[in-house]
Amino acid sequence: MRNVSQIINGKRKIIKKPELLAPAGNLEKLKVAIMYGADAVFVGGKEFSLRSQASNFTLDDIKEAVIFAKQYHAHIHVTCNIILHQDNLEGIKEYLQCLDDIGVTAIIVADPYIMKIAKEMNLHLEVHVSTQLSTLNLKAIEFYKEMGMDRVVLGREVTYEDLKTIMHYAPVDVEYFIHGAMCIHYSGRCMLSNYLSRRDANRGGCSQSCRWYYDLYENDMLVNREDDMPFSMSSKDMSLIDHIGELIELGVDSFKIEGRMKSLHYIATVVSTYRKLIDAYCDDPDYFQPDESYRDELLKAANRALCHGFFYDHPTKDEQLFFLRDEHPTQEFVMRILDYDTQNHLAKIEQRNYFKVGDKIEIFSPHHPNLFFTVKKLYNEDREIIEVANHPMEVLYVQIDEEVLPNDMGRKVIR
Amino acid sequence: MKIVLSLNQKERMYDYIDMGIDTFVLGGQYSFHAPYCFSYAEIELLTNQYADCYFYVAVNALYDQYVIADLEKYIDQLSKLNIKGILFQDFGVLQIVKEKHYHFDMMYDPETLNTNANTLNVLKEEGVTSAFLSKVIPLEEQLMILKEVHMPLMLHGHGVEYIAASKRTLLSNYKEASLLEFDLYGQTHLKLKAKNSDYLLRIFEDEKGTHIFSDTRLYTLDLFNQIQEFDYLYIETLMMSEGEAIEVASLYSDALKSFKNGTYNKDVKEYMNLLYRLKTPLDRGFLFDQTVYKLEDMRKMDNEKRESNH
Repeated sequence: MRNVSQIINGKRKIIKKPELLAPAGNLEKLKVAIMYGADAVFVGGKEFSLRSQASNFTLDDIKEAVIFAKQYHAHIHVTCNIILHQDNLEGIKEYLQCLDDIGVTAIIVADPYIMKIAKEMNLHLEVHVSTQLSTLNLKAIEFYKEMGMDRVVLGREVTYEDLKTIMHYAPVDVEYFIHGAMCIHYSGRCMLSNYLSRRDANRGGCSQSCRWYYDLYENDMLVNREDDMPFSMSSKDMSLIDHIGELIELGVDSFKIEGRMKSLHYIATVVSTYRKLIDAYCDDPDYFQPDESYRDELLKAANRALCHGFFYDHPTKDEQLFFLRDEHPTQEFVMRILDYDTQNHLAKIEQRNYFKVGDKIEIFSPHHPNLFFTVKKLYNEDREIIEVANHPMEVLYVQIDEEVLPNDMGRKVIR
Repeated sequence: MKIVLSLNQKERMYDYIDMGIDTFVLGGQYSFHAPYCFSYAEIELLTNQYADCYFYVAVNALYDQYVIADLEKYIDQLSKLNIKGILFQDFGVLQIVKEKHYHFDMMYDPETLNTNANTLNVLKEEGVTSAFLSKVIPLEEQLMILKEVHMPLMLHGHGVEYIAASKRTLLSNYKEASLLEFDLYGQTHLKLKAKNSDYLLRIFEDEKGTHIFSDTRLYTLDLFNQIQEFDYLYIETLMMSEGEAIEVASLYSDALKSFKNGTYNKDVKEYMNLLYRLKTPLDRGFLFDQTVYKLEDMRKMDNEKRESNH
């Protein structure tokens, strides 16, 4: 059993804080994830990584990421999680050596061949077993331990009850998904995309065919007529925001947020929310008061309805998306703060989406509680008064009475 | 090359043995999507009754932690029987067998993952003793793997192809959400067709979750000249009627005999005619096809598809 807490000055405190591991699809998102509180960020390289549609990182990008992360004592994990085919075998050793030389903390691997050579090369980096291998039990974890693996990322099918047992005996670090999209089938074992789109899911080409609509036939007779709900295999996204305390108490080593293809707004919101929740809980676990504000905050960036995944047990119909996609209208990300003039109460911003004078804006930040203001005065870069901000990435000035900080973000409040 | 058949009916053992087939995969209590699940007592009886045959037991699911203690006991029991090997995909199963020093042929069958030789050679060092190659790679790649891997390999020879499996009860969930009436029980009566595709899928649900297979049967009856060097040729009887399973097994065993006698090239046309007469949907799967995964290739494919639709 892992010892996660200790009495300090008469008060129990969590001494084994889990790593908060965030995704990033490009350098900008990576930097924001770290600034908003991620202890580590996982990225895909241009080679040997899934999510081929995410804007994956070059070796130079990864180098910059490592240098940036070090300033915040954060870590970079690189996914090398494709299932290798005969024509993917060349260049792996050289690539792993480059990642090690750059100072990457860990690689996330699904193919045992990469596991083996990474260990044989005596690299400094850790080797983590990808969730693509759908690891659900301790015996499988022991197998990977004997292969020299440093951490296992569990399959999303692991329930809380099974996790309790696993955490009691796990001989290596354990990473557990706390937030993000879910594969409806066992990861790594789904070939729907291969058969329906000729796109290889296990090499990054997944077409997400599970989220398509299907007709169901019984003995060759159509079951769902025109107005009926079509068959679908689309899962709601997972969020364990209501169970973070229980997971911290188990000593889970790393909390993983999924979503290398998600937006900057999503990453900032989700990372920041979990960061604040984890810190608040760890500071005073016995008197921590859970409240709805964390969940409310997540919903501002969630584009699908949220569920608990397999946390309790088998997900029911309520954890799936059927005819109505149940998508949330996310609050629109409209500005990123570049600077703030405290004398004139003027924020220099980078516009991200359309907004105008009169709009109500919510500013969120890793450093202070959310604050709200209505846009009263808006200026272009030449300090001329304007009414609308409609040019993406344009530098503008906006009057905000309360002090904001560089890299705070603003989203338009939906009335 | 030997034919290996997933046994659907123990009453047909005599027929299969008569055809010259002596190696069988048995579904059991812990099997994933088997044509029939034999109880331990039935497996014991079969292995005693047909002592000259070779039996593999499919212990081929991904196992939750809470199942592991019972699974260990089951493997202990299997070790007392005349079982040649275990088909598995969860490395937890391999770990149990290694810890207990059992001498099963551990055939790694992860459905989708055995796609290169180097990985299989690494797994050999970790205790894997034979392997079932992935069905989603071209025959050319399977042949390359065959040349470079130093353990017996099984090729999917005939039958429906695995596509996906979920721990969720997807059909029950849909039935409850849609309020539509259909029968949940049985392996063969439900099919799916994506709204934007003509490809038919078979779907069924059991206590282990939901399973999706191709509607078509992959076939290799006319490819013996290319596939002869594989150690095992697997016939999947899942979703086959009793008659189809017997006919298919008979055709493949006759074809193999003919191949060994040197008359295959002359006889194959007739075998294929007999196969066509079964009127089951046939397919080559990925044997002569490639998937794409690089962004530029996927875009190219999407564009080609769009243009062909205009």
